Amino acid sequence: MQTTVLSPECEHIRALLLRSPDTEPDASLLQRIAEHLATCPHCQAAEADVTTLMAQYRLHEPPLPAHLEARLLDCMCGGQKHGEGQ
Amino acid sequence: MLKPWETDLAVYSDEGELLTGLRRRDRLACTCLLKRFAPRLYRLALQLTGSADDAEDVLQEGLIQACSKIDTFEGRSSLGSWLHRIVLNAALMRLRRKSPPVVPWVEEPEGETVAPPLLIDWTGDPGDHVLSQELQAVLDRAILALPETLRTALVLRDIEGLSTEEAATALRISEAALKVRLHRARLALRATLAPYVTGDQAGG
Ligand SMILES: [Zn+2]
Repeated sequence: MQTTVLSPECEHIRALLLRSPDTEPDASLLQRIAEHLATCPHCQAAEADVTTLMAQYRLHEPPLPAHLEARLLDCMCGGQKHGEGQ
Repeated sequence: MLKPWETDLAVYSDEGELLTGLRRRDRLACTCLLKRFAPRLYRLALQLTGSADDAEDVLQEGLIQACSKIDTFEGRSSLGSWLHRIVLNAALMRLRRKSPPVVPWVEEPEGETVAPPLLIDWTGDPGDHVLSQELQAVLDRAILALPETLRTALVLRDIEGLSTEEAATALRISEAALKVRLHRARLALRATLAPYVTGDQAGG
């Protein structure tokens, strides 16, 4: 396994991004970060790893919980029994 | 009476036939629609709202709405895309009603930020990894554990495949904000997944 040493600007941006994740930078900082992300090869490479994995993940569909299917069916058909309405 | 799972769903393999059946409120047509589209719609609702209870309510709300509008569905998009849009909007509406306001960012003095961990290179191409059930489950949990602002950006862009502009519009934020939220979400996932992808339990 190898590690990548980041540029000072990249380290600074990453440190900002790793701060409390439910806070949001103001507009000027957002712009500065977005500009860095658009040009930094390290940040882009880090993102590319995840997007490749997510491309596989999106193909997987968990089954619908059985109780939910029955509940939805009743809502959609308004209690109609099988074969009615045909 | 036949159970829903004993019915022959092939009757409605054609989308036009399925629409006709849905307009008659035929139970078999509704079952067919659920089998075909509901798992994906449920995942969308679950990952956006972050709660199984909310996801069930959103899906029910969306499908009731779809049934009430099915007579006016003109088929300009596929049935699947139309349902997807309805459930997406229902989930976003629910989030807007429930979401706490975004916490303002307080600038820290220079030098007081915590140094970020070094980036660990994932061995080989992560695309080479067959997505095992274990990794899928880890991803499921990691996505749900993200803060709402990051999770919704990730779900819309990386899972649902919306463009930056579409996702930013849906979340009512600027494109710069969307890109930054997305990057933060991906970094967080990367850190969570590192032990599984690199085989190193120490992680990033
Ligand atoms: Zn960078």
